[in-house]
Amino acid sequence: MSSEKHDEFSSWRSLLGSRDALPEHALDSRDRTWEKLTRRLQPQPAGRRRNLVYWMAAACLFLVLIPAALFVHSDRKIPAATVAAPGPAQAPTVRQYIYRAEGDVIFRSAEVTPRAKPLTRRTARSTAPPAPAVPEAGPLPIPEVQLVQPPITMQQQPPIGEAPSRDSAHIALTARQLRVVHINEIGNPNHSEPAMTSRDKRNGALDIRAVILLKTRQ
Amino acid sequence: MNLSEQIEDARRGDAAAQRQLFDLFADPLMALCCRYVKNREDAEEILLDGFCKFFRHLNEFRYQGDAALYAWIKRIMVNECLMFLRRRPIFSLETETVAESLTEEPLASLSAGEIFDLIVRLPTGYRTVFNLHVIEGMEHKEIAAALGISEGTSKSQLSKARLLLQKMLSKRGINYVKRKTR
Repeated sequence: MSSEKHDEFSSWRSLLGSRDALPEHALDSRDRTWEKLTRRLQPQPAGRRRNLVYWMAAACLFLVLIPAALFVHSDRKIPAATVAAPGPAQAPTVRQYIYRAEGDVIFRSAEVTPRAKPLTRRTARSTAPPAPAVPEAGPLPIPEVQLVQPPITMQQQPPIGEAPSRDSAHIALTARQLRVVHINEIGNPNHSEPAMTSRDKRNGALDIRAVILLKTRQ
Repeated sequence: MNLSEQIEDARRGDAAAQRQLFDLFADPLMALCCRYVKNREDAEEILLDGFCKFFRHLNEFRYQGDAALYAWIKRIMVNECLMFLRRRPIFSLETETVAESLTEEPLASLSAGEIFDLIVRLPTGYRTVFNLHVIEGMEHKEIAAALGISEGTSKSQLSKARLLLQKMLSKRGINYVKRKTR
């Protein structure tokens, strides 16, 4: 059917189909066009092209891998505690030592919740910048609770209402092994009176005193 | 030196033989490209691309005569033109009137130059289908496959081309078409 239709144009086909039909539409300059063609026909350096492709592929790979590696690395740096969702606040317990100066030094440990903001001593005069927050220390060791005899320890007790002195605190914190000795072992350094009378020995009333040697500064 | 020897030399990379083949076919093929593409610069680019393909695939060609060689290189150029045209939308799909029959006598009186001018003045889509169907002798199925369109589109483009040609020719005082509207 179509062949029937374009048969009507068979004269056009034969006119335009011949090689020398349209000389007016020929090339303007064959030489110039031939030069362009020879330039296109010259073999391009395949090796250089291949290298370029390899370099481009490597660059693309680099651009993809480096951010991925950085991302993975930064992920590992973050500790799990910070990543986890914050749960109910559980404040660490800190032992607090209460000093009582009613004749004895009693150490009582209690667990209290620390304040959110560390207290810093600041006076009106002080112009110095606030001291940096004290790093949180681990739980302090629990000292042994000692009952100290009044005649000896009273001298070192701070008055009521005052803060405990450094010495007493030192005593408290450093648990000393106390040694109990007989009075005869000590004797009287001045030899003014005997340490124990014969009468006393006879009565069986031994004057035994517990002496606690404090070796605080020795 | 005959054409087959030139082809053999050109296959071996002889620049002189290639130049002779180029001189032989450049002008008619340039006219062919201008028939598909209005712009001469575009046509020259298409021509260069086509000759590049021709020389690179010359080893695949079996010489069976001068006409066969010309048909082969012409087909290469037509394909290059179609590749160029396929990069842009060239078709409109509306058609209402169909030219049923044409009388041949008035058309035969036109010169090749006049026919060329008429064809070049057609819109690109009409011109392409008209060239392929009427001048190159391709079927609508082949045209559809070559241009990536449906057969119906190819037929409608041809009908529109005919209608437009009728109008152009009637302006020149040539009334040779019986029109039927459906």
